[in-house]
Amino acid sequence: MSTTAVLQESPETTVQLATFLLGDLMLGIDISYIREITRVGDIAPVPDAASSVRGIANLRGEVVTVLDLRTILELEPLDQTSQSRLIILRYHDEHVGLLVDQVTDVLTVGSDIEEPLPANIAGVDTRFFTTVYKLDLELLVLLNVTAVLEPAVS
Amino acid sequence: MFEGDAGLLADFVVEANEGLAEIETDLLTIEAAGADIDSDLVNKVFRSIHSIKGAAGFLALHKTGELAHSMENVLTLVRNRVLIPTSAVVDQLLKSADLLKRMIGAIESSNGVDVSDHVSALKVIAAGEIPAARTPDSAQEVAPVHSAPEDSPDETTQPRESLGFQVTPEMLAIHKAEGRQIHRMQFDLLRDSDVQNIQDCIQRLKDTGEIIDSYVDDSQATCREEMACLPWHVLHATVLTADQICSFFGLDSDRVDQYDESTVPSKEPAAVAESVTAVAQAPTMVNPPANVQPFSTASAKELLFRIPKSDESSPAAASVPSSSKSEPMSAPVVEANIRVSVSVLDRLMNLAGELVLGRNQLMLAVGRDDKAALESIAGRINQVTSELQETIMQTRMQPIGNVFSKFTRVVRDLSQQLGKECSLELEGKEVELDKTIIEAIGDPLTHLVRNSVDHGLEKPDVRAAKGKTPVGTVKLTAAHQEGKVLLSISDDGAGIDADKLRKKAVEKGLITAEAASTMSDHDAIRLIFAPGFSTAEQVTAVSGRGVGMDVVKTNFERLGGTVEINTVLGKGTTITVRLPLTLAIIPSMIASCSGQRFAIPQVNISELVRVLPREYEEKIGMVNHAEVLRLRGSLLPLVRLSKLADKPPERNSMENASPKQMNIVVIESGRLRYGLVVDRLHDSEEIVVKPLGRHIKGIKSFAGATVLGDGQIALILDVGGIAARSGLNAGQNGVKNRKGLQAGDHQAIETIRTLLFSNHPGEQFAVPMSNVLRIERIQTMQIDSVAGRQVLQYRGGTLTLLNLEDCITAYPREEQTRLYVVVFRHGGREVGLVAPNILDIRDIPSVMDTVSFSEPGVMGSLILDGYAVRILDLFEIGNTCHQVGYGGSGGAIARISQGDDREAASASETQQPRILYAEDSGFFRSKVKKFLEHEGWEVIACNDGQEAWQQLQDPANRFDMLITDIEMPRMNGFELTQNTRTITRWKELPILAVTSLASDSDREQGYSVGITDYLVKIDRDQLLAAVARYLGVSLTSGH
Repeated sequence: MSTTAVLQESPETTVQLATFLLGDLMLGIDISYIREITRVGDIAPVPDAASSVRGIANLRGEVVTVLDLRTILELEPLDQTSQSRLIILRYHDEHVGLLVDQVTDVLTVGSDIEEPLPANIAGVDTRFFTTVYKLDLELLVLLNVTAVLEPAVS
Repeated sequence: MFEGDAGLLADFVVEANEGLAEIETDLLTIEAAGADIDSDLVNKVFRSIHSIKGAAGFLALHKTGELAHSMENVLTLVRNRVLIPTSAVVDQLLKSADLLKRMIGAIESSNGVDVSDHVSALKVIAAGEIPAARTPDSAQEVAPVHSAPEDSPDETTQPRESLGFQVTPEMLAIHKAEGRQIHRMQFDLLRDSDVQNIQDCIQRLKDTGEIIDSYVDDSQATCREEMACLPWHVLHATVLTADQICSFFGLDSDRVDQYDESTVPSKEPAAVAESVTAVAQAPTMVNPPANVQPFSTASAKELLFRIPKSDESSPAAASVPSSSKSEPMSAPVVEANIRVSVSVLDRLMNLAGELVLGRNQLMLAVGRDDKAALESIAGRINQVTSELQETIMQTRMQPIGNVFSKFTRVVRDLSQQLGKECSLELEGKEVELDKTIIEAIGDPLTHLVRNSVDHGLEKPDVRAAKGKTPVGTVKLTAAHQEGKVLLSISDDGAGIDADKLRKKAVEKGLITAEAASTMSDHDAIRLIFAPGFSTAEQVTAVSGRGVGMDVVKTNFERLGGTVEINTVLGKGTTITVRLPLTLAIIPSMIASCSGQRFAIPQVNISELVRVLPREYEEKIGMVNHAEVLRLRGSLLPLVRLSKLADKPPERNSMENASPKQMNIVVIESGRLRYGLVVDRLHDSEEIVVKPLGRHIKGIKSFAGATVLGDGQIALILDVGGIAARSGLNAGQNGVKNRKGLQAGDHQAIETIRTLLFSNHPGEQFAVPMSNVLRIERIQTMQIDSVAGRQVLQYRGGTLTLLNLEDCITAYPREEQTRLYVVVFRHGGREVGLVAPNILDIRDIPSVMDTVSFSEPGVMGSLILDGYAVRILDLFEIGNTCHQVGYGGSGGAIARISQGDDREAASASETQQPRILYAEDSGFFRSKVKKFLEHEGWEVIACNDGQEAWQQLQDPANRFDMLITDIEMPRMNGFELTQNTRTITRWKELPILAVTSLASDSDREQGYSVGITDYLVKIDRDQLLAAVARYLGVSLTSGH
């Protein structure tokens, strides 16, 4: 995966984002949250768990909770494909896997291409997002990791 | 705070805690010894406090240093026998040690703690104001004949504000007496390259001598860089000369000088030290200066009277130490640490190296696709991994003494508070348990100990009236047993009155009056564990802490433990707790449901039941719309795992028309008992418990997850959570029925739990469950025939199989594709007995017909449900495997030559072991006698306890061991043991109880009267091994 410098000359604060797709939606996560990105192995479902919990997976001996990002963002559920990936995030003192459709790239983006957050992006509540970056062809939406990972209050 | 070295601070905390860990026990021992001072012990305490003081001074932990210093002063006096450690003195030292502990626990905020109360109280003691120092037995009598110099309080609280060493002349004298010189050294913390690594420097100072005291003088630290210096003054005792020290530490000669009395400033700035100095300087007045060795107690007392009076007005009452319970403390910032011995660490490192090596070889072999190499590498990695795991587990093990030691204090304080007298006996402090368990058992154990002192023990006058010694005893023991740790808390107090409990339970509405009247005493006493049950007549300040015994029980059960209670009214109570060694790895049964696998901890499983479709009618029923299983006369509620697993509930088809058999795991956990219906049962596995993430932590049905052998994940079931989710409540009918049944059985007759099977449809056999290691289900085609022997490829080795018809007179088994194998241990190896069809597990009476089917391999017979059932003797059956294996005659020769060896061996011994054996059943008596004599031991068999007791009373008799049955007429095994122990020469006699009646409470009772060990009646190998062990001889028959 190549690192594309979108705006090399920009003196503004820049962040590195891992970008991925959820349907047509292009999302990004600050790479400092990410421990690794893996293929989706076996996921053991957990009865009685919240609907966003896909199950648990074995990450080299560590039991990792796998969350379905589609369910969290209230998008249509989609079956796993060969493109599906788990983004393993550091969350408090544990690791959590986020199931996404496809991982695309790692980008460095600057604050100069930030756009104001609209009330709703592709039908998703914006409380899950922090910023929108305008790229050449599309919009890149920065995911609010804390909001996504916080266990739903049931 | 000394800047820049957080690691140093952490080290200090670890070291200080270590020093303080035992201080309590030591102080109490010192107190108990009174005037008879054990100088080693005092020195030990002194050293701990002294090093805390030294390090605290260095780290600028003023308050910690101040408190430690005051304690040290008092300890110095004790060490020098100037001060007798009465309980008032030790009380204050204990309280101060407590505060010190708390301060070190929250070291960052320790400088904000007010220690002045403690410091002044200690100072008063050091000044000799506690009259008890002179009259140890009358701590109450205040006799302020001579009071000590009292410095103004503001001076005492800030000793470090003024600079200088805190040192007493007798400390110097001690060093001098040992031939050391005292040097004053000055390092510059900013400039000296030598002290850049301060830890290293301290180490070197310690290597060359002892740091008596040190302080950092920050008064000269100026802002102007070129002038800046930060002198660190060290008072160092060493055998080296000043010149040597200079060159060793690279210091100019003006930075090191001799330190002696003359250099002690006439006005010692450290104010606290002054009063002590006054006391301590006194000897130099009485004794010649050269003779400053430890003073005799007599002169010490004298000295106390010579203390110059400077402030008559300070009243003794002011010295009453005020308690310091509510110092504001922030949460500790230092992380939890564990100490691991270097050798263990080295081994770990080594193993890790081996593992890396293994991986490298693995990669190579995979690259080359070398099958043969792969196998050997896999074996190697397998071995290294197990060793690695074992070693890592070892680092987590800690002696239980860490928990036990704090009870000395608990019991002391509590008995004082309650006006009782109590001694605490600790046993098995060295028994090791997993760190997490050690940490978790503290609270529930404390509760039990407090209970024993508060509710168990009577007041001294009551005890005296009952003819008991006024001092009650609470005994805390730990021991390993059957791969578990057995803790017991026993007292010789009043015991628990079952009737009182019944009354109380009825009053509280926990049970009905009828239930109470029919309830056995044992069950009634267990009521104490019922939620919402408090036994104290009134809630006292001591035990009424809102924690009931139910919480204690739950706490232990959460750790995978069990709690049993045993009490004799008027004699005392024993509570037995059984705990697993570790929580991290648990043996579990893997079961699957709807294609997903789950792990069920084996401790929770009592048995597995399979119900065939044709048995549904008979065994499965409905009660209140809930499925139940009829199991040996009791009803067991059923829970379907599929319902839990969120799978489509094919309930109708499953319940009524399904042709499938039903696999039921019978769960038992505390009062909870139910059947869990699963689709399939797999193997049992040792699983490593992994915690669940916070998204799923809240789900009560699961205790965690584990990674199975194939890398897949299985959830670990929490049997309590599942019961709660399924709406079962503990103590449902099933449980009570069963418990009642068991209690009844016990009283009626001794029973043996046996496995019932048939070899040929016409014949039924039983083997005692105590002999059975496990039962395997195999396919007939898996059996190989090797050299006339039938063997099974099994767990990487071979298992010799025995057909029943080859061993005893029986019809041969019929051909079938699948059969069961009962695996048992014989002569140190595993042997399998083919048991084609397993019928049931039954408790059968131990009284049996030993005549009708008498032959080697058959213990006896009885009629069960209209069938004659032969009970097999697996030991003798196992013996036949030699003959089967090597041909009849060869085996016989081998046995004869063994016999010769034995005779030679026993002839060489001067005296044969002599065993006294009491057993009322003629069958067992002759049997056990036979195989003990087979070993060349002399056996004197008696018909009951009374007979054995007569033998023991005859002074002419010599016995090396007593083996006794428990249930016997005239005098039972407990009474026999109790009597035996009253004779001095039998105090150490090994007494083995051989019984089939060995419930936990029985065992407990047995141990309490003095039985050395318990053995199961029909396990011959185990019995022989135990007898040999306790006799201290080796077995002759080649086990």
